[in-house]
Formats: sequence, C-alpha cells, structure tokens
Amino acid sequence: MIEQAWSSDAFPTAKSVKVQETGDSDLITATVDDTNKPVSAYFDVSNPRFWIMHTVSQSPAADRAVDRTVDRTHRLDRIWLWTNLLNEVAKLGSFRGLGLDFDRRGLYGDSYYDDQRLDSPEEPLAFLKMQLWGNQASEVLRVLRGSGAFPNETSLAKVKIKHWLDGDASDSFSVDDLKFNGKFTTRGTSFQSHISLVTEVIGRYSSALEFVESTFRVGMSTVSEGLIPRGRPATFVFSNQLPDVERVAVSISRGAPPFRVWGVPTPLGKNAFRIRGVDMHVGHRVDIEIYSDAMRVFVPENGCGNTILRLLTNLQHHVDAMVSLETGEGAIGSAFQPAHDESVDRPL
Amino acid sequence: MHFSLLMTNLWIGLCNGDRGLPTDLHKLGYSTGLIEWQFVNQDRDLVEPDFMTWSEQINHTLMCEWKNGANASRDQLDRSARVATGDLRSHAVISSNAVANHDVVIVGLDENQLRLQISLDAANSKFPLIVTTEQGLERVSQSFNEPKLESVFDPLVIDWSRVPTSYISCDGESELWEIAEVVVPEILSEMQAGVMIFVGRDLAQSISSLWTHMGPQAKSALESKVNSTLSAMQQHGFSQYFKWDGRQRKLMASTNLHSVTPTERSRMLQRLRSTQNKFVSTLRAQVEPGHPESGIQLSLDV
Repeated sequence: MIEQAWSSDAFPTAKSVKVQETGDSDLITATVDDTNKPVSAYFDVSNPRFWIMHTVSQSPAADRAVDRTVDRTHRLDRIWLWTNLLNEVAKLGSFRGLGLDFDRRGLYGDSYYDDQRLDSPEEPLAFLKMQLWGNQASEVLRVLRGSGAFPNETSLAKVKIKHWLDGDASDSFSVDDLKFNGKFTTRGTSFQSHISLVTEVIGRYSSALEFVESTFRVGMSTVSEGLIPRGRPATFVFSNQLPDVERVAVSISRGAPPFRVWGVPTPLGKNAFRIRGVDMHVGHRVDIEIYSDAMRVFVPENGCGNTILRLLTNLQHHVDAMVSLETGEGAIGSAFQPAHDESVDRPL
Repeated sequence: MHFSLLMTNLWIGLCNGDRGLPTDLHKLGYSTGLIEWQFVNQDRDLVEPDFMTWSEQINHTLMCEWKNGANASRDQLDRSARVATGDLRSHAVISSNAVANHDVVIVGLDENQLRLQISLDAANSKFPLIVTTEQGLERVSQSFNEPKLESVFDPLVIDWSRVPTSYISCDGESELWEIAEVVVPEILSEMQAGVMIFVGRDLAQSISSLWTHMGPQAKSALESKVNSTLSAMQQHGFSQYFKWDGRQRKLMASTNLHSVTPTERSRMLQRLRSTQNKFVSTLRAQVEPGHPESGIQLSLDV
C-alpha cells in the first residue's frame, strides 16, 4: 500500500520517487525529490492499523508529502485528535505551550461577515488562532475558556510538552509538539522518550477508535427468523443552538476538506436536514441528520470509525469548540467531552 | 418516507434512546428490536410482527404491527392473539427474562383510526390501538397488559422532524426521489473503489439493508425503481458523467474519479452535487407539489 500511495501518481512533478524495504519487515524507507526539496521518510508499519512516518526533512516539504500520500489512497487517513484527547496528552509530561485554532469563516462564507455582523457585540467570534509558549499558557487557556470569554471558539489544536521516559529528574527527555492532525515535531536528548510518547498517543487513539467502531456503526443482521438492527449513530451535541443549520449542513457536505463528506442536504423540517452522503476520503457511505442542537452520523458496519473522529475534531475547529460526542444513555464519555472543566495546568 | 418504514426507523430510535426523541421506552429497558421476526404461536400458525422489542428490566415483550391502511386483517389479529409466553421464549427466542408479560400493539394513521377500530372490534381484539398524530403517538383504545406502558402513549410527544430516517433508508415502497437520494451517493461511493459500471439489481441490494429478507416482489419493486432512477439521471443533467444503456440496464461512468487531477475532481464533485440537488428536488416535487424543484440553496458554498 505504501508503494501505491507514495508513487509518481502522488508526486507527478517529482524527479524521483522511491520506496524500499529494509532488513526489518516493519520498516520501509521512502524518498521523493520534488521541487528541489527532497524528503526522506521512514515508515514504521509494525502496527498494521497505525503507521508512523519519521522524517528529519524540512517540515513544509514533509507536510506536503504526507498530504499527497494520504490523499492518494482512500485506505490511508490521518489520526484526528479532538481537544480532550490533546488535553489528556498534555498531562503526560510537563506542559510547555499550546496552539489554538478555530475558524468558522469557511462555514458561513465571506459575505456572511459583513460590517454589521462584525460590529455586533452578539456575533460570536469567527476566527481565533493563537500560539502560546511558556508557563502562563495554561492560565491564558483557562481564561479564554471561561464562561464570559470564548469557550465555543477556543479549540486546542496543538500541545507542547516535555516528556521523560524515566521520571522528570532524568537527562533523557524529548520536547514534543503534537498537532491535532497527528503530526509530532520533536527535539530533545532521547528518541526513546519521544517514541514512548508516540506509542502512548497511538494506544489511546486506538482504544477510542475501537470503542467508536464497536458502538457507532449501523447495520442489519439477517437470520432465518428475520432482521436484527445493530449499532447506533454517533451523536454530536452542540453546546449552543446552531444559528443557521442549513448553512452548516451545506458546508459540511461539500465533499472538500476538512469534513470531506459529499452530499446534498434534504430538509426534514424546520432546522432539520438529512444528508445521504459519501465520505470522500475513505469512500464509504455516511448519512447525517443535523439539527440545531445535535447531529447524528450513521456510519455503515463496513465503514471506518475514523470518519467519526475526523468529524468530531473538525467540528471542534470549525463549528463549535465545545461540541462533544454522546456515548450513549445521554451521557458524554469523558474521552469525548470538551476539556473545559479542568485546565492544562501541570507545573513546568 | 412511507408509514411502515418511518415507524420501523422511529421505534428503533425510541428503543435506542436517540437524542431528540422521547426516552420513555429506552428508560424502560427496551432493546433495539427485531424486524419482521417470524415464529409460530401455540397453534403452530406463523406470526410475523413488523417490529418486536423486549425489556428484561420490566420482563416484557412488545410486538408491533404497522397499519398503512384502514384495515387490520382478522386472521393476523387472531394469530397474534394466540401467542403465548412459551412461544416467545421457545420460538421467537426472546430472553426468558423478558416474556413474563407481552403486548401486541397496532399502530396506524390518525385518519384511519375509526376504521381500524372497527376492524379490531370485529375481531374482538383487545390490542391497544396507537395512532400517529401531529403531536406524536397516541393510544386511542384498549390498555396494555404491562402497566408501565399505560401512560407512555397518552400521548408520546414526538417532534416528527427528529425521527431518524437512516437506520433503514429505503425499500421497494419508497418514492423515486428517496431512491435517487441514496442511489447517487452509492454510485459515488463505489466509484471511489474503482467501479465504473452499475447494475440496478446490485445497487438495489447495496442501498437497502432489508434486501436479503425481502420477498421476490419487493426486490423486484426496488430494482425497478432503481432502474427508473438510473434511466432518469440521463434527463436530469447526469449525462456528462454517466451513460444509461436501457437494453442492458447498466449505467456506465464516463470518468474515473482517480484518473483526473485533484482540481478536476473537485470541480466534478461540485457539479455532481448541484445536479443531484436539482434531480432529487425535481423528483420530489412530482409527488409533493409544494416542494421547490430547485432544491436548497447550495450557493451558500464558499
């Protein structure tokens, strides 16, 4: 599959594209020389579901290579780290900083934000992007998430932590930036420390994905007696009523990033729309029913649960930073609820 | 969505505790349910309720019959009345912790209430009759054997716009626009996997989760509607992407999504979306005169 994804089709202007096996069956090297910015990558494929791509190449070129590779095949996707998971990861070391990224302008269109709307004190923030490094970062986050500030637009996009393998007195450490799209940028004295953090993140993501796939895929069993419906939809709960459900429905179903769902919203009633759609990244069908307070997502039994985690993460970055995934019985599972009750506040 | 399919979707949602629906049944512990579940009663006569659900929490089984029309079959009512606790356990294979008590409930349209009641009275049926009103589901006659259900439907208030319609999206009785709504995304989904030729019967099987349980007539009806949809696509703007061969009853895609550049692909998806919007709306307007043929405003797109 790496050969299919990391190929001349993905890099049509590249001077050279190579994928090579090594002596280790779990390690594959790949190189591309495109626009004079070569990228060398080392794929750890020891986990058949979650591959890790290591590189020391320049970040913009490496990012582009990842984009091209993931976009090339519907069998590859990124991991999508929703805000509470990032919050939990930040507690795995000493917190050093964070990045916020929220942008709903694409949802409503440029013409939506006219002068009148921008001057209105009632109008929620359209865009909030910030990077904070230093020991006050967590305090700033707490303030921004406060009820009188911008809780619905304060969406954690990156965390920076200092991580030790053997306890915080050790000289062996890594300083990792982890972004919501699964990108780690690291420096430090211990690669093992970095890898142990990566492994921990994958472990948590994998557990969450397993839960999502066992709970939120919908299907039907046929036996001789009749039919047995299985599963339930994933329900995303918005923290406030969406002001314009139709706009959100139209925007998330364009088939383009970040949501990548293609479909046509059909009105079901006042502030209610149904989208019979396709996840254009992984290719399976997905049905969405969207209301002012919630959104139901029906992923088929053969579908990928990553669709749900991608939707959750991108809803948090583009619609409502406090949207959460309802895990059943009306309860919000702690893994999926917005991280607003406790700030990231471990001492440096 | 036609009445029977709507009811099946609704009751799955009610039992699942879907957000936006009343949680009474879910809180009483009713399971997701069984659809068109066949078993024999104490007389060895076949019973096949449209929907069955059970609760171990209150040791009760509920069998539901949807009535699209104004009549309830005497024979069907008699067979259901002859279901005993042992039949539920041994033949319907319901948990023995959920069969101490059971009810059969008839669910019909409000406009048919009187005639349904006449049918039930003529059969000396004691089954509760529930009708769908603007408000929700309302019990209009008889009582449940299970006391905890007595007040649940007096009425069960439902926002009809919140009824899930995606547990089962369509079947052979669905309108053409509802089939079109599902068929085009299904085609696109299969194109993502490299499929370029589409056959009506295969698509019919893919779009309805009821397919394997459907009888030959129902399958034929659905397949026919799918073929009508594929044929109609030609007259409604899809001809630049697909060609319908009426003789072979096959639809052929003229462009492989994977062989175009990302920019071309993006443009194609946008155009397909507009085309689909208009297509579904035009078909819908043919059966719902108030519905706009132009569809919703996709120009909200950035």
